[in-house]
Parts: sequence; structure tokens; C-alpha cells
Amino acid sequence: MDNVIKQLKENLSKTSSLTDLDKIYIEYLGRSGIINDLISKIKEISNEEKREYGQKVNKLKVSINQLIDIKKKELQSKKSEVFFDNTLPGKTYPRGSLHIVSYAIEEITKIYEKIGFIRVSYPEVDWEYGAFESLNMPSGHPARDDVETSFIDVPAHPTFGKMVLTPHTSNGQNREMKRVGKPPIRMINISKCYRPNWDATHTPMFYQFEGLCVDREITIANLKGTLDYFAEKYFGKGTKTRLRPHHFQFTEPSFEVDISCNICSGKGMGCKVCKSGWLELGGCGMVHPNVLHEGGIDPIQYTGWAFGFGIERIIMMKYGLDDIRNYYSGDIRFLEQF
Amino acid sequence: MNIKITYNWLLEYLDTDATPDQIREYLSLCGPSIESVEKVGNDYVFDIEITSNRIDTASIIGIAQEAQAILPMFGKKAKLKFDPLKEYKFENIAGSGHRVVPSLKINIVDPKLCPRFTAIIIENVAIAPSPNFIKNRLIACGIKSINNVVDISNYLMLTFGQPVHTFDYDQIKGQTMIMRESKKGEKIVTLDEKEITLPGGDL
Repeated sequence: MDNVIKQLKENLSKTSSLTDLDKIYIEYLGRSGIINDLISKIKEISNEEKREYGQKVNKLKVSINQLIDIKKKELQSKKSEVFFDNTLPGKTYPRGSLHIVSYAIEEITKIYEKIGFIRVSYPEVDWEYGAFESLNMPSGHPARDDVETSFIDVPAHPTFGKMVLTPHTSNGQNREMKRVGKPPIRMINISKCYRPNWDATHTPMFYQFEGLCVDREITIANLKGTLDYFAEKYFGKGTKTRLRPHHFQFTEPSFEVDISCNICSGKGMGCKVCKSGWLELGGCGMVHPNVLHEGGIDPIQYTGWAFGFGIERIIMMKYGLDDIRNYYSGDIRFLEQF
Repeated sequence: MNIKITYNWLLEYLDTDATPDQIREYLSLCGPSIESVEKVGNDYVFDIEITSNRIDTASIIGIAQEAQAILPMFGKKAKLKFDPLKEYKFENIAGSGHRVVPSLKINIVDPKLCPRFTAIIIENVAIAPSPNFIKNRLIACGIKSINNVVDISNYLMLTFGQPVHTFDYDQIKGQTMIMRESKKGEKIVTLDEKEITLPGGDL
């Protein structure tokens, strides 16, 4: 044991860095270090000598600790000859954030949650039945041409037709009606959609959110009220909505929704963003009886409304952005602003 | 689907005191969306979205009728200048002329496909460029001017919304026109000289 101290002193005299000192500490006092080794040997010692042996090892441990401590202080004092200001701020590392679309999805979900709409999620890859037949567009119907659709190259389903990438979120309507079975239905379906376009206001993959409300005595007034509520919550107080007649195969009557422009407060004159005081939000209407029927709901007892808006578009309108392609180009300088 | 028509062309059928911009605003609120008004020369071009349930509005007459219904609601005068169904009666155009049974056979295979097929034969046609007023209007409306025969069919379609097609009578096999569905794999060459293989069942 005397040897141990002698050896340690020799080792310490050669040590010039804290890292080396740590190694020595481990060598002597670590889990499988010399001291622990000596302690484990206590089993081999006869009972009479055990007490004395134990005390010796303990003493040794204390001395080693002291020696190492002294050396440590010596090395630290040397090191601190170089000035170190430990009040300096640390290094900053780049921090990620949620994508602009993720924020919007969260915001929309919360807005509708408050008036009892449940966020649902339905497949992005569906059969033709979900995307067209169930929405009052039988095969061969010219309205199908209005939505350019991508088909997936797999064998068609015997009853549901070809496999498609959903061109809109309305495929959730039939599924939700069948899931709930009996109205009331209040859903918000947010999902990716696909159409083969690429310009400032279109990307081949985009997000839509679809609202569907079915119950007894649901009218256009309920639709307008919900749209007004959403416009005020999302775009800010005082935002108005207006409906213009339009045509969609799955709603009758159908409307396009405009919201008043917040940039020019609806004046329109010389406004770069809206030009007319109004901005087009998307489509909506009263659910077509054929669609309700296909979802197993009696169109005589129940009525409903539905709308579908593009998420990229409403973000664009809210922040006055001009190119949707930026959302997906992966440019950090753009994305970190949100 | 979008169509383009011009303001002056519309005024030939519609008597109104509404400005192009008022027409755009009021019609967009109640009927077909007019997406833009563009000044071309001394005329204005409307770019109009036609929804698939209102194909009847896809023409000058169609828009004039919409305007007649909508503009008075906004305190504007709007009235069709004449009833085209009366004005363009055969007697009014042909005068003392009379209908001749033409030497063209028409064979409609299934009346469900097409309840009515109308054809006339025009003789002594000289193919030439169209008069300027037709040319300019077609170009303003986004249609290529080709020659008098092609242009007049496009001009009439845009005016009345009724598609018209012209054929070279001498080239028609057996002087018979057959209305039928296509057979699968049948090939046609379109006007822009593309060969298209038909899936079958096309009109």
C-alpha cells in the first residue's frame, strides 16, 4: 500500500492537464480502480485482520483524494491565468420552428373547435367513388374534367373504381356521414390534396380544409354565420364575407365566398392586394340531396352545408404573400419569418 | 371554362347604360363571374367564367340575357335590342328564297345521342381572309383567325353559343353524315394536326 502512494505521487508529478488528472482519478478511485480493488480483497483477509485492513484502505483513499485535490487546484490555478469571463453569453445554435402551414392548421382547428366542429382526418389516397361518385359526379360526368386528377397505377377496385390522389378534401364528406351515421355532423377535415398545377397560386400538393355541417333545419343563414365567425377570428375583427352564386356538383345552391380586404379596409381603390375591396376565399354551398342520400342520410329530414378552402390561400391573404411556391421551396429565410 | 367577349359586340344585342366596369361588378355578384375587363383599342374584353350548369350563358346572347335580368336590379338600363329567334328566322334572311332538300344524307344512329342535326350547304365559297371586324373581334376574344370559313363558325358560336362546324362538301364520303359513338381504338386527326386514338363511346 505504501507503494501505491509512492506511485501516485510520481504519476501526479508528470501530470500537466486536468484531463490527465481525471484519468488518474479513475485509475485510483474509479469503479474498477485500485482502491475498489483493494476493498474487494477484504474477503480474503482473516477476520482478525479485517478491521485493521479496512482502516488502512480508508486512510489510503483519503490520502489519494487529498493528493489529487491538491494537484487539481494547482492545475486549475495555472489555467485561470488566462482570463475567462464566465458572464459572456453562450453560443447560439439555430432553432427550428413549425412550418407556416402547421401553424395555420392549428389556428383553424382551434377556431372551429370553439363552435363544436371536430377535426377529422380522411385518406389522401382514395377511390374514385370517394372523390367523385359519392359527390354527385357519376362516371363520365363532365364536371370531373374541372378537377384534374392524378390516378394511381394499380388495379381498380371492383365497386369503388380507380385509385386517385384526392383532388379536394370533399372525399371526407361521404366517409364522415357514414362514420357518424345519424346527424348532427360538424366536421373540419384538413388534408393534403393534389392537382397537377405549378404557378404563383398553385402547387401540385396543397392543403384544404373542409367544413361540413348536417342537421335538421340547417340553412344558408347558418353557413353565412359560420363563415362570418371564421373570417373575424382568422383575418381580424371587422372582416366581412359575401356570397356569390357559383356551381359545384356536390352543393345546390353553390356559392363562392369573398372576404373584405383588410389591407385597404374594403375600399378597393388602388389597393395592390385586392383591386376591388374583396378577396376570393373559396367555394361553399348547401349539400346536394344526392350527396346526403349517398352518405345514408335522409335529405328530406336533414339539410347541411359544406365549404372547402385552401390553407395556402388563406395564409397568403392574411399576410399579403404573393407566391405560394415559397412555402415548399425550403428556403429558411422565408420560413423563419413565421 | 372561360370565354372572352367584347363590350361593343355585346352592345350590338344589348341596350344598356352600364359601363364595362359596372357590368363586371354587377354580373359577378349575381351571375357569371367576370374575372377581368381589359381595354383593347376602343373596345373592352371581358374574361368570363362559365360554370358547367350555365352553358347557356357562354355567348354574347347568353351574357346579354343575364345582363337584362341583373343590371336593372342595380338601377341600370338593360334590354335586348331584338329577339334573335324572330330576327334570324329563315324567311327574314333568305327573303323570297325557299328551302331546298339538299343532296346530303344525315344518319343519326341513336337519337339519344343527338336529337337534332342541322346542316346547310353553301355553294360558291371562295376561301379568303375574313373581314377585319371579324378578325379583330376573334383575336380580342382569344381565338386565332384562320380564314373566312373557319372564322365565321367561331364567330357564330361566340355570338349564339351554338357550336357550328364546317365541312368540305366534296370531301364527305358518299355525301352522308353519320352521327355515332366512336369505336375503341379509332383514330382521328384534330385541327391542330394531332392524331388522337379514341377510347370508344365518344360522340
